[in-house]
Amino acid sequence: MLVTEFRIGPNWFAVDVLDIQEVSNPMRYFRIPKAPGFIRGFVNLRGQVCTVVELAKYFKVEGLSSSCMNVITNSSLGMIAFEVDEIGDVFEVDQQELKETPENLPEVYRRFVKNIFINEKKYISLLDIKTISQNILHND
Amino acid sequence: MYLSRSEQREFLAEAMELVDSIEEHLLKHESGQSLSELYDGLFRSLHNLKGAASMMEFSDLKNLVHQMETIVTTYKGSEGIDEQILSQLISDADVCRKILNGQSPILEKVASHELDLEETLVGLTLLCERWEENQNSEKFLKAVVEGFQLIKKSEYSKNQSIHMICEIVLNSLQSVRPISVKKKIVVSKKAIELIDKIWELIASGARDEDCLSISTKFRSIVESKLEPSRKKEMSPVVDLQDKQVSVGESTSVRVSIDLLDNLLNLMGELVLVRNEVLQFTDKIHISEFGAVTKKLNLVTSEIQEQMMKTRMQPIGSVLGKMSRVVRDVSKALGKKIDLQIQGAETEVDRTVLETIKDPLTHIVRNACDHGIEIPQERLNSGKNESGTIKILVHQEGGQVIVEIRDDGKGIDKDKVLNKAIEKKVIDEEQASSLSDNDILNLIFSPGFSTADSVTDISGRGVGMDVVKTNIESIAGSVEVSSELNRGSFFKIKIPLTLAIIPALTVAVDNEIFSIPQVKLLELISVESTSFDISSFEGQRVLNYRGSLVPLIELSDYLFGISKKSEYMSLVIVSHENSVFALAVDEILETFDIVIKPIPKVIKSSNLYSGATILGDGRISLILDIAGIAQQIGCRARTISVEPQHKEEIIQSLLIFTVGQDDYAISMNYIHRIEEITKSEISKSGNTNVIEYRGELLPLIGMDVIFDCQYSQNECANLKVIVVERAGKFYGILADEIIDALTTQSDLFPPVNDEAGVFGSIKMMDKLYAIIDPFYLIATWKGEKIATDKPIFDKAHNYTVLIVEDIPFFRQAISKSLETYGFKTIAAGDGVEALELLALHPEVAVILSDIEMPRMNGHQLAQKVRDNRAYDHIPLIAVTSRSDEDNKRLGKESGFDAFLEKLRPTQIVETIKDIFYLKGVA
Repeated sequence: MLVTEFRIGPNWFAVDVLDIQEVSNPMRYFRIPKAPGFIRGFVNLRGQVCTVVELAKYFKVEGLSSSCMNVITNSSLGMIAFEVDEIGDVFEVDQQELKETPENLPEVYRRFVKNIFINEKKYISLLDIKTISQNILHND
Repeated sequence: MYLSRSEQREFLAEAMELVDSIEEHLLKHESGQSLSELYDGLFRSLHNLKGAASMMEFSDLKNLVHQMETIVTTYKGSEGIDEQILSQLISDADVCRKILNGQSPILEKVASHELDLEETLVGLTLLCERWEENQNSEKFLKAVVEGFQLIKKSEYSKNQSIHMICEIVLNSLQSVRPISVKKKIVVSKKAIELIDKIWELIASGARDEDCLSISTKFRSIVESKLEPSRKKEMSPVVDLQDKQVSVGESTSVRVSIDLLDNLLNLMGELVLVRNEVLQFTDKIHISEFGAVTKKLNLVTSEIQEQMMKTRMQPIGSVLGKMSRVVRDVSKALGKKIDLQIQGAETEVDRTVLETIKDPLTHIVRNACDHGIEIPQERLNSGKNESGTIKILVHQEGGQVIVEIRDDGKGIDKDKVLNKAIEKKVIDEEQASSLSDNDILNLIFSPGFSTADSVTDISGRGVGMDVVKTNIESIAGSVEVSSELNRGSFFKIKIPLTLAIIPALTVAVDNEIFSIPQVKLLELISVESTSFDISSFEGQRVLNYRGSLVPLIELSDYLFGISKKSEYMSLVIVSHENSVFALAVDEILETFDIVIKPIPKVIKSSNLYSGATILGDGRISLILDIAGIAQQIGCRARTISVEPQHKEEIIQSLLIFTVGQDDYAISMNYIHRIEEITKSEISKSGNTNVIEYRGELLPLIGMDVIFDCQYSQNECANLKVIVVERAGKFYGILADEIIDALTTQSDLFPPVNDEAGVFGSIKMMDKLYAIIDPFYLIATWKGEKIATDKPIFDKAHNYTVLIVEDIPFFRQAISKSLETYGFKTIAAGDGVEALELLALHPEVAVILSDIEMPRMNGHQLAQKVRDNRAYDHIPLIAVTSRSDEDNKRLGKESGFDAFLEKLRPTQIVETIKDIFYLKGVA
């Protein structure tokens, strides 16, 4: 599986490259009063309304540290831009390298991080970003 | 005979239309229309259907239709078909539909293993389409599953990709997870499409591996589709409901809904780009560029309008089905019900139509089942044996109003209340505080049913709340009122279209929000220290035209920031008749906005109904006025069962000043109000003009007829009140616009027949003269106007029927005629006029407006002329649209004279002339 890695605060994550549409620089966002805390606002992505989500707040893990980049996913339900601190490399991960997420991690974390793997001496959590966007766009 | 897939689809759609037409004819005959009138149409439809069926080798259908045809032929020239036989024929039509719906030879062919892949796919496609129309039928699911199993077992499945697709689709079709039928259909269709594609690839020599990408893609599509989705699936074929467009006419083509939807989306994008370009033009001043953008603007608006039309369908296509509903229910329950439909030609967006189909059916069915009593019961309570259900549709602004009225037993409020407590919808404590209207609205609560026994037809308790949610999901509203033993009344308001709506943009804390125009009442600016704004228990309240309404400061409500400024910009909005004010930082412009969906996590706050991208690229949230109303605790207000009779005369007037003098003008005349600087005025000949909408707008001073002087201040801006008269625009100059007021006070007729004044009105202890703008314009143009008071000494002998929908004009005309001694009676529209005519044989003259709801002036004139009892009564059209086209139309429909709205002297003169001509006076 080809993945791209990114950092949020001290933590590294990775997502399947096929799940993301593009990566972009920070954009001007429009605030949405009284929306859930993890929603930063909307951005205008070439004429489409795209929801900006602060992943750290969604997971309730340590937050962003610096000015951030956006990782953008697109599905039939709509577009979501996830704010991250830094975008890393794109590389191939072998199925055998994936390790199960340990049970003591928070439930919300385990729901979306099914596996963890090690790359260049970093622990990287493999995010199921598709499920996350579907959860955000449609929380039935 | 070989037919392509699209030809087969075409055939099925056409055959369906023929069956519909046959059924319609039979139903008409059943409800009393004579056979001789219907025979030709009925026979032709049967014959065409038989021909089509035999061409397509639908032998079952052909035989059945042949039998029907034989039966019908034996009645040729007779009085009518026996009731029993007629029922048989109607149910035969149902059988025809069933055959077309899939119990067709195609199904058999799929099951018999002899078909090749391509034909199986054709069969499956057709099955899916029939399935889509009969989503409740398990039969189709079974047949489709069988079809895919067949492919899976066949040698075609040796191809890995085909095998995989079959497996995925079978999994989802047979899954235990609750997957909606719609999604199952979509998945099946996609599977068919892809298998077809793979087969083509293989046929052109592709290897197995090449096809794998398609099947993987399918897997991901299925996964995403089967996630609960709120996106609506569309049916793939445009249902040509309009029976007039029958077989053989080639003025229309069938276009897939997907294509139309894509076009509409692109249209939305184009509107946004247009807005962007327009804003850009305002910044740079190059005249050629300006001219081009003007053109772009025009063309875009035109395309938008036409595009919207492609999606419009007459609401009659849904209402037509109601007669079948009513017929079936009344047969089943032994009731006699007469269904009357008016305004079936009103057009609405097909998405809207789809959404209101079920709610409407439900309400009508309820009316038949619970509302209308059985004949004996009706006779006992002194009513006509057969009950009436009236459906009235008309357009009002950007909305379509559907009114459903029955004269049944009405809704028993006590029963509703008891039931609600019993079903734990509310507790007893709450119950005691409810108003009558609140109680009625309980029927929309989830899990509520008042039927003592559950019948086949309705009363399963899943009804009215779904009705309400469905209608509200498209930004519509439903109101109910009822009177015991007199009947119930439902008023449904739905938007004409969903995708593009006009909205007002406002700024709050540097963000821009949009408010749909249909919710707007008024924009006002108030000093923050004004007495009209007060606080109770920390809640702000506005004294709005005499009533206290909630005032919500949006910056505080949304962002928690309280702002202090000298003036408050208030947007007055209303939802279901409850009014409240929103304070915003700044009121911006109105735009046509394209609604973009927003994630549910944001929508669930009930503050926003969507988002839109503005011309400058900013994103604006669309405020959900209904949601906000609910959050601040507004409840739906009462509406009356007979709204048109309890209506009060409310006049909306605009107060303006010229120099020291105050004048009032009825809002009904005003097209727009513009603000101009004196330097913008240019001269064309002796006339002052300004440029307005690409044309020259003549400016008329009030000093043409009144003794007044404009302010001499050179720097002050002038206000121009734009009035439309006979298709042309005129601008009346004013120094200041003071206020817009609504009042219920009476109009005092002019004291001294003062020229150019309708009368005076007293508001807030001040007397305002209400000017007659048309008189002003006519004087300015130098037209000859009769000013002497005409003498018509026999006036007291005559009763004048005034037909006019706007209360202000109605009152003004009748007041002025009364000063000449006429007796007057007034009706709000053509229908009411005919009712009044029947009651008042003494009516000597009819004065009628042209544009009115329900029945317009032309239709009324025709009705009056067609009726021997009335055809001697002179008809005078009184309208603001006295252009040549309208005049010609008026002559054709039977008007004796065509007058401009509101010159009483002229009206009396005309009446006089007509009577002299007729030798009556």
